Order: sequence, then structure tokens, then C-alpha cells
Amino acid sequence: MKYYLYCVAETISSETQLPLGIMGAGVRFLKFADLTVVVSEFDRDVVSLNRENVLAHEAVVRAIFAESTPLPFRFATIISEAKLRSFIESRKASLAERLSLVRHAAEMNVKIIWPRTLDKAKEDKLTIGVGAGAAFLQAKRRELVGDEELESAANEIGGWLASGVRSCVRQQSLNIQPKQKLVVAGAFLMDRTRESDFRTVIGQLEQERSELHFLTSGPWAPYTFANIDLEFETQFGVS
Amino acid sequence: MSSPFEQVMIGSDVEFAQDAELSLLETLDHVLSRGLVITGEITISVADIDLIFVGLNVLVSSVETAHEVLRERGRREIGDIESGQ
Repeated sequence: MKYYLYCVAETISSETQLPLGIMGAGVRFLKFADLTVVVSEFDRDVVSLNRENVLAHEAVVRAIFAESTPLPFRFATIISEAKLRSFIESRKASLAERLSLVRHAAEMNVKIIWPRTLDKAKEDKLTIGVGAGAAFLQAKRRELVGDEELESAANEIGGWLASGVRSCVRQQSLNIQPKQKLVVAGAFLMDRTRESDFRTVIGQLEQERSELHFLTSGPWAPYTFANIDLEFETQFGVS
Repeated sequence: MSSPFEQVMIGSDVEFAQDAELSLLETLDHVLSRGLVITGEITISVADIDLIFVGLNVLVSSVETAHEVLRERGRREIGDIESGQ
């Protein structure tokens, strides 16, 4: 028998109201000592990526999240009962440790968009009247200096955000991409009771730097903080 | 605690996306690219093409390509054994 996996959590009440799962499947709990895995019985090997299935996955995770803080599985994880049992057995300690880290916590996400764009007109003006070789070198130099400036400015924003929310969060994960409009994507693990404080801090930061656009979402189950180890390298020889 | 579907806040002058679209994008971002991974157990179908998700960085390959890579690797290993390497 195969299972579609939604999440793993510390003990969940059997009274928990659950929505229907992927493709209308019923959702049930599998108990492994102190851990409960939330699953649907599934007789296929592949899940279609569509809006309904993605929302169904998230709806089940969210129903559990209303009562406890689970570690969500990534969408479309389908596994045999034997493999699931083996996974839980071999990762019991890591799962327990990770569940303890996220207990009573939620994930908030903040994305920052900045207005930096290349000043094309200025560039064109600089290259008028020089030969092709000199123009190329000028462009290269501008690119290098520009990259450094962008990276420094992007890191400064990331650091400013991290420092601003530090008092509210337990753990954070920042992704900084200087060359993108969406320059900073931050995931923050915080105690559920701090959501309001977190939003207040983000509001203050928005006022402080009005040139930046903030996209804030949450609370989510801790998707970003769920992984316990990387098996990728050992199984596939690459990382 | 409120639902994230209602809580996406957009800077006042960001006009290129609607709340609902952002909420769905955020959901996709979480559900597809994050979460606990049991490597090699994820296969999804997009427009009737089966794709394998491997590892944490969402390396995606078509099932057909992955099978071909595995078959090729198998042929190489058999070749190595036969040539005594």
C-alpha cells in the first residue's frame, strides 16, 4: 500500500477536523510511537500539479497546524508503508529534535522588492565617441563595480531586515539576490504569540525605508524549517 | 491565528499583482519548493508529462530522461565489470 504524505507532527487528537485530501482522498493518521504522520491512501505513483491538489495539500497541513506545529512534507511525496516506516525509524531522533524546534511556532515570510534599475541612458552617453574595444572595457568595468555595489546594497537590506526582526524570531533563513528585483526573501520562525509583534516591526521597517516594497505572508506551517538532512548527495552523487 | 490567504500585505504602490494571485504564488512557493523531503519519492505530472523532483533544490527532470540516464549508467557499469575495471 502507498501513502501520500502531508506532514508529521507530535501527537494529534483523533478529534481533529480534517478536510478531504489530494484528489478527494480521505485523510488519516499513522502513529509511530510519539510521532503521527498524516496521510492519504494513494494507489498512483504520480500526482498532477494543479491548483486543486496544491490547495488540498496545504489545507490538510493547515488543519493540523491549527492544533499543533507539524513538519510539512513537500508536495507529491508518495511512499510505501515499508519505506515510510524505515524513514521514521531511521530519522526518529532528528524528527523529534526538529519538531521540538518548531513547537508552538509559525513561519512568516517577508519578501522585499527594490527599485534599483540600470540607468541605460547614462550608459549610452558614456559609450558615445569611444571605440568598440574601449566601450567594451568601460561596460565591463561598470558591470563589475555595479555588481559589487548591488551586492553590498542588497546585503545591507538583508542585514537591516534580520536585525529589525531579531527580537521576535527563533530562527531565520534569508535569500539575497542582488541582481533581482525581489532582492530579499526571508523566512522567519517565531513563536505563534509573536505574530502581532512581528507585523508591527515589519510595519515600522516599511515606514523607515519607503523606497522598498514589502510582501509579507503568514503564518504558515514551518515549511522552510522542516528539513532534517540532505540525502541528495548520497543517493545521486551530486549536490 | 489568521490564514495566510487573507494576510498577504502588499506595499501600497505595488500594482502588478492582486492579493489572490500573490496568495496562490506564496502557497505554490511553500508547497512545491519547501518542506520535508524523502529524496526520490516525488513525481508530479504537469500537462501529462511526468517529472521527477529530486533533492532540496527542485532539480526537475522528465521521468523519461531520468530513466535514460539510469539505463546509461547501468550500461556503463556493466561495461566496466566486463572490462574488469
